[in-house]
Amino acid sequence: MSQVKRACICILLVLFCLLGLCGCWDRKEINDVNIITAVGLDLNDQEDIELTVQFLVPQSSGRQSMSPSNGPSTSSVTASGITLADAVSKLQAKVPRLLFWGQTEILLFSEKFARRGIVEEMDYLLRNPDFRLTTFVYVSKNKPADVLGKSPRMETSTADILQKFASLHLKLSMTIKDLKSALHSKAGAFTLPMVELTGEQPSARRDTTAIFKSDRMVGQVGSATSQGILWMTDKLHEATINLKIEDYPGDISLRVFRSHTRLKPRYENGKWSMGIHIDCENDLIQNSTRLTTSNPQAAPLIENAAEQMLTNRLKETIQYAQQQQADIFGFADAFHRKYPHEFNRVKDEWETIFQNLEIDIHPKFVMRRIGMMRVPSKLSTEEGGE
Amino acid sequence: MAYVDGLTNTEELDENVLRSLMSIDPKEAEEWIQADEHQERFIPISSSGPVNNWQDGLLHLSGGHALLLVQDKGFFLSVTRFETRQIVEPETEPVIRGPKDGFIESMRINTALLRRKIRTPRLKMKTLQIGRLTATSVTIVYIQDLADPKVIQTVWDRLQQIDIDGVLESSYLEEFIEDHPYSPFPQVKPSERVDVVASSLLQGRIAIVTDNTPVVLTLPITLPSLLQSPEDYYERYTFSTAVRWLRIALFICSITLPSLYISIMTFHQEMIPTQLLNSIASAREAIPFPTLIEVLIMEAAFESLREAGIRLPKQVGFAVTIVGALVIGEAAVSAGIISSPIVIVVAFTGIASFTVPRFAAGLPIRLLRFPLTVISGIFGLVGMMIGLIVLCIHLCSIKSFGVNYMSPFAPIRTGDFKDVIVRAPWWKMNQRPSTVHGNPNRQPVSKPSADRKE
Amino acid sequence: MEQGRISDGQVAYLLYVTVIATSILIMPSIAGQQAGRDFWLSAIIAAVFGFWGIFIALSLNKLYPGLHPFEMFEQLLGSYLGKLLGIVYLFFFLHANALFIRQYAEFVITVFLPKTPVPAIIGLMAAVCALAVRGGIEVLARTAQLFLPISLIVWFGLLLITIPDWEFQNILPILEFGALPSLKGGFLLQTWYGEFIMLAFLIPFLSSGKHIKKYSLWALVGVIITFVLISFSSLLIFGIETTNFIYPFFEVIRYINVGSFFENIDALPLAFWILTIYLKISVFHYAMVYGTAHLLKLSDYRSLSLPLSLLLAATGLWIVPNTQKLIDFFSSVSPTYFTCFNTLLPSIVLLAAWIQRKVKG
Repeated sequence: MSQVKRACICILLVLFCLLGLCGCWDRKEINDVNIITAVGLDLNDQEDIELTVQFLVPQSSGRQSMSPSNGPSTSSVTASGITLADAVSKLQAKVPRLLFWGQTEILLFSEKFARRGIVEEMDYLLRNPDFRLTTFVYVSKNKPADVLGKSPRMETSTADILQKFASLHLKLSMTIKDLKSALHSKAGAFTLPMVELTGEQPSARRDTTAIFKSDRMVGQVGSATSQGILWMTDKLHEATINLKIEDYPGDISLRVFRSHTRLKPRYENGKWSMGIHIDCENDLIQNSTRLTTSNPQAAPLIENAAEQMLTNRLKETIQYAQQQQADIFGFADAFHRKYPHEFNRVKDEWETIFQNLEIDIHPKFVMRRIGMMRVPSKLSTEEGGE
Repeated sequence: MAYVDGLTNTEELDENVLRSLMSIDPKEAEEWIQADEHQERFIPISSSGPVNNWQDGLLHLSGGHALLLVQDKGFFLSVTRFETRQIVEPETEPVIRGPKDGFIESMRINTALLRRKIRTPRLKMKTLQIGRLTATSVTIVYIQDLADPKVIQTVWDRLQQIDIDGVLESSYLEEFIEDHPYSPFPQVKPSERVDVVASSLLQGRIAIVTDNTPVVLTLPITLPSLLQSPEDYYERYTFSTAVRWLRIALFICSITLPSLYISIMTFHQEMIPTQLLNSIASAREAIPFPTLIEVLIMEAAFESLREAGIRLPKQVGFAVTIVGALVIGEAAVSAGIISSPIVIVVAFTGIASFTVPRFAAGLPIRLLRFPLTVISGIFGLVGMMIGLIVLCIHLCSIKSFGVNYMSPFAPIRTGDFKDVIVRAPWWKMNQRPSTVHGNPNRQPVSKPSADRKE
Repeated sequence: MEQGRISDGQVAYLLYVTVIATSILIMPSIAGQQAGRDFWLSAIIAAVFGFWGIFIALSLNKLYPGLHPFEMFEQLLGSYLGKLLGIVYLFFFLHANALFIRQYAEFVITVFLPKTPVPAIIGLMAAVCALAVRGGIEVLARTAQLFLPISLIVWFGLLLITIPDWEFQNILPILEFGALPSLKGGFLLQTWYGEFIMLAFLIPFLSSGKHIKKYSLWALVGVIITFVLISFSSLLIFGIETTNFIYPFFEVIRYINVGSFFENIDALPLAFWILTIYLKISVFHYAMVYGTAHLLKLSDYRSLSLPLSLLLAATGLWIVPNTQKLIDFFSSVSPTYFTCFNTLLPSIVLLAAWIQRKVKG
């Protein structure tokens, strides 16, 4: 072949070999990477952001194939900075491996941080393509550094515990995606679940939920109200409720296994009102009264009592929210969907309108099953022997 | 009388030729010598004829014929017999269910095997001799009106143009007549099984039978046809369909699995479930090499074992390949040279590449896996995709004697899908594949009879 | 010059992938900027531009059967002006293709490979497209038939998985601010729907144009359905937040979480996206290479493929300095710019050709 062609091919080959020399710019070996499973944000005394991360520590089990360890262990490290991005860079300086956010499951805010306002630091999290939108968010009563520093007995890490709690759906679970929409929603208020350390392990206490207005935490509510909030926002998946029936001393416990809440916003003659329709299906799981539940007449009694209890509970929840002028149920979005023009006219005064909103509740309980026994144990024991 | 001892059947020579020659009446002999034609009538050999010059005569001699030289005339007598092996199942293409006859080294017997399977007079054969020193007989076999006459002519012309010292194996011919000799992918399908070649002939393809080798070439072919095994047609169609899907998946796996592993492990760790990631990270803690080097080392070791296994005698070779791979893998893991996930990946890739029915199609895969691995080690999934694109561009631009190599996937011919993606039952296959030149309708179309009610 | 012939179905594949490839990532956010929540309506409204593009291409083919558009220009405007118009179109192809390849590179770097330098990514893709164009239009069409079905199966399969997360109430209120925003959004989507005019540059290579109308309309329907599905998936999962994302489809894929082992798989479907972007860039590159060879009256266009791809790579590096300018371009300048070449100029040419035919009698 001609000289020119040969020269060209030689040059091309040399250039091709150079490709291998320059290296792989983005190569991240697994062992050069710090797999972060949980992130905690706190404020320290100087009002700087204190960032704690929990990461996996792989056991070097290369030599022996039988390793007695029951899973990976975790460790945590903390750093402070003026902003979250600053804190991240300071954190990287403390850790020899590259921080890898792609496996982050949990995001914790400390109460102090939540009260200051979260939206500024959220900007970093939302902008970064490495953060998952499916990360669960909690507000922590204790310092995140403490929560994330613990090594629990059964699960692999505290992050794992919190993630499993979230997927149980026993209480409110919010992901970053939900948080993002909540921050930008018209309601201006939302809720986040709280965690607290009990002993050595964190427990996602279903008792408490944190209430936020715009992006600051303004209060926390207890067990009953938390459940009310879940019910109002159609996020209740499973619950156990206790009732007392008139004329039958004792308690009845029902397990709600399916619940659906429908919001019916109404705007008539300048008056805003909201109808809430709740359909619940439940089973009887404990009967410590003498009421014979297999009797068909028993069901309406129980259902009525349940509806009454639900109405009362929801009324309390709504009262609290209205007092705080915090539309944590997302009513604003519901009104906006149905009456967009009217809503846009008044959206700046929504908090006042919400406070005076007329709300009527229409619960409907249906009891499906009563378990394996016809007659309550109390009754059969007392009359026993027959 | 001249003949080559070892190539001729001396018994027949003695019995038929010498006896009849010795019992010729001397007067008739004179007549016979002077006559110009029909001189073979005294010699009870069916295949014989005149030889006019020394070159042809010597050629006949080396072909196993006997030469009878009478004054200035010569005849060749076909009394050939040489040792051939028995007709057994080819070792490289076994099936569980199906005929177990395979070609052997004699061309005449091979063509006879084909004729036994396809008895129509439309089965045509054309022979020529290739090779200056070997004068190997090569036969083109095709079914008239099914095979494309243009392809037949092209093959014939190309074969005739071959000028080479010797042809020892059909692969020599393969390299000469291919459309794209620089491609790693084969454009003819070599096979040792008679039923495979016969079915190709029935689909309108052409077979090339070469003397002294049991490997018969069929052309034109497509890549999906290299992934078909004769067993697909002998087992039930539902099972065959499932096996076909498995085979396609494994084919893709065998090319891409190491690259996929490397690119996910080093560039996209967020895709892996956390627990798995932790186990793999633990396994890799003590390993000094980056993942790319690990994979390359293990791949090289695996290929070496494979090559070694072929050379060793059968009993020993089997043990070396399987046990050797496992033991060496284990030892390497314990020594901390590679990590156990790599062993799994490479072993599975190796198994996947073994499922390709045609050994010839497995070779380009083994070769192409390496550059694909390297480029995905540099650029991650992006690199792997770029590598696959380049590979597909190459595959789509190859034609095997006028038939697109990737047909029926590109260009899409839905009619052919019934034999590529699934294996339709025989009573549904009432159209010949589009590679066939002639009448596309099979006759007759037979469905399960109406009185066979379930 | 080009012996290869492609079938009508293959043209439909090429058209579909040309329109979808770059739009699938950013379409909701571009349209959403103007249309707000109703950008899915914009996707349907803007289809009219697609119809128009197909109509122009087919009508031009009826007036000048089998001719390449550059040949039509010369016949219509005379040798000198026609060649000039051809050169203008060549520059348009170069510029547009450079924009696409830059878009691809920016996306890959933002999401996959942050530290890799831009020239490496662009160079790889340009080289691959050069290889494809060198093989000819047939090879291009065949790779389209190989890659597109797989990519579609993967994407729509994954979209199916996201359906449980769809909250249908996010679609309300519809037409909150009237129909004008969605019309404005539709205008922005012209950038992509207008690319159906590429049909005119593919028609000369058809083996038989019998079903071309049917198949190109099928391609259009496919594009509409794809856009609507993509819009729905991001709208119904994220609500109005969708317009805040730069790459909504990507976010949808990232949100998939099946059984906590199948999550964060964004890299995989986006790897298949690379297959479609390669096809789009190759189609435009082919138009440019073939056009150049035609204007220079060369006997074969294949040898031009590699040098022109080098030019493409260089242009891709020069056109914009950063991602913001690129996005800004697509939101503001590109609708007008692309409309000019995809819709206006071809319409004028069609009108002129029609008038000329009428005058000639």
